Amino acid sequence: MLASVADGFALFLDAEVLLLCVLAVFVGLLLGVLPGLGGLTALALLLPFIYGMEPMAGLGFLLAAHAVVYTGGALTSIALGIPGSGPNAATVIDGYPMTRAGKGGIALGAAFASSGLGGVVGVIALVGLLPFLQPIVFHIGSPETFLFAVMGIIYVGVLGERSMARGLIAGGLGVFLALFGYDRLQGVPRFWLDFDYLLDGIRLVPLVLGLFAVPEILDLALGRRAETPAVGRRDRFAQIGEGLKATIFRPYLLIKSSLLGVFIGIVPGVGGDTAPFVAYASAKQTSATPEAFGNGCVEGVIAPEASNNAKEGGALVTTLALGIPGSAGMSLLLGGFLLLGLEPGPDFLANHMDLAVGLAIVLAFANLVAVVVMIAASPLLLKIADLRPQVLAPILAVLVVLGAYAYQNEPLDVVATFVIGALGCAMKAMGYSRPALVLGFVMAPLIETYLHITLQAYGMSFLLRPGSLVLLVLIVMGLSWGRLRRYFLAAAARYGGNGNAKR
Amino acid sequence: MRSVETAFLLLLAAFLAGFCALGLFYYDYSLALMRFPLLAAGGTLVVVIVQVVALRRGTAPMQVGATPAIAPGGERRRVREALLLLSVLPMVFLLGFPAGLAVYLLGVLRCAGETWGFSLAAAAASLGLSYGIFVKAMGVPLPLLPYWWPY
Repeated sequence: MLASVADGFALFLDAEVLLLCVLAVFVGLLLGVLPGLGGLTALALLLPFIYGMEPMAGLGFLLAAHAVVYTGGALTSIALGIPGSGPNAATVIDGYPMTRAGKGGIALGAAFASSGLGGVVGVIALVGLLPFLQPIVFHIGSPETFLFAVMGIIYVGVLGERSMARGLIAGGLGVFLALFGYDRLQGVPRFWLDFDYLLDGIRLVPLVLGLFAVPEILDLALGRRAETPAVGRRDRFAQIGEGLKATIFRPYLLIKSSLLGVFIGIVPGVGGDTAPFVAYASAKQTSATPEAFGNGCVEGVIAPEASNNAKEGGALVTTLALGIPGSAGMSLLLGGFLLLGLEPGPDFLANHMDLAVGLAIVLAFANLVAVVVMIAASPLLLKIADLRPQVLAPILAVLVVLGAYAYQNEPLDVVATFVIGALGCAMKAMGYSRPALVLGFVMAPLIETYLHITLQAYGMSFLLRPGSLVLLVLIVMGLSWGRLRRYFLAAAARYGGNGNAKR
Repeated sequence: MRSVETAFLLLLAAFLAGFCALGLFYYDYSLALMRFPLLAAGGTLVVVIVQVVALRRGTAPMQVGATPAIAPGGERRRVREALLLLSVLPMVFLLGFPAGLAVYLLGVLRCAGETWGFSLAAAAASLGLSYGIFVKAMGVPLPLLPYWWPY
């Protein structure tokens, strides 16, 4: 293994590879900043360029761009309240209120640091897990995948800002909206109202842009947003430093969120969109001050950003070790492997361990370079948020239109964005959790599919499988952790109080 | 606010129940196809009812400060601002995406009291982004011509 690590470093330290990785980081960050263009677009755009390259150069180029897209997406989420892509929506919840409170620099510093460090944790997990992964993943069947998905969706109530009922209603609506269009099991279109656009269902990017960006833009245009306190350039750098420190001084949260991201990334089919929401909800669930979440809490930025970048390490594990792409982005990366004459899977690790390690190093390197680039550029980029609201609103509207269209080259997505925007405005005004709706929307197809497969294959006895039992215990623990923690803290305080009284 | 939220919840309940009824009685979907939608809608409806009852009894926690304060200015001005902002939709369909977005930005910024220089620069930047980066560099097939244009 040590020889493979040395060989991996040798492959990575080639000048051409380094140069291509740096170039890819810039491309990835640019695509992340533009709404609607996520990691998939980055890979699809860059895939044709790798033909004829050396494997390490070509794959490193693709992977570096894909890895940093969500780091770029954090910028628009925090500075403007517009998620660069679906997974960045979780960062908006606390990142944007921090900008409005004049603490945008802290949020950005925390987001970039947790993205970078989360990516590195993902890589460490990748290198550590590669040799042992095969038996683990082959034990993950449809029941475990179903329970993983359930684990994700139980957090909709936790995401409800001040009322669990509102979180559950929003999550339930998200689940229902995801059921429009072709059913994945029977191929029958559901609820399509004889309208061709609805055959493919409601799309994620118009949903996210409509729920988060449109209400924000309307508030800006109508002057319903409080002025953001002015912050000088020097203070912005100080804030970014504060954000970096806030991340480093929360190692437990950072590592926990990163590991959640890694595990969700490993499970094929669960999809990376889930990881940031689960990490956010888990951070809120276990926080000593859950009421601070949603109002500009730095933990609410660290958790989703760390898991967002860490999940790429997890997704790469299954892609390399088993040839099973852990996410849609990884399936395009798999195409890159085939284009270069390589076939990922168990044989790949036996023959090309050096390349696998080299790619892991690229992942870590790209994450760290992206952090440096974004930190250097963020004081300038945060100035966007200082524009007069009446000027900023139409500029954001232009970005939203471009992002909504570019997602699937579908003009009706632009219309759908504004229709969903009306729902977003209503939900925002009445305090219904929009992230819970997005989480329900993302998880519903997985739950339906894997529940069906599981019941067909195992019946109700799937609950007795060892993996299922472990996950059920984790679900119960996750649900009750907040209450148990508060109970034990209260009990400890009572006990301490009594003790003092006796003395 | 409670009555507005109750109306919102009733609308939501009608939406869920309506689509379930549509699936069962109009499209005649099989029970296997409707099982999950019924489960999702049913579960949500139960929570909706609980919330409506809580709102009627006044026991539901209300979202404090959820609706931001409205800036000074008449109702008419706010409607005009909202319509101006939403004019981006007709603009892109009437003039094509790159040109429509540029003209929209120029118009809205001028209406917001910006100078001709700034407004024109912003419109040119929008053209550069939509045509230069999206269409040329990234190959996104943004519709260049208006929708009514005879192809």
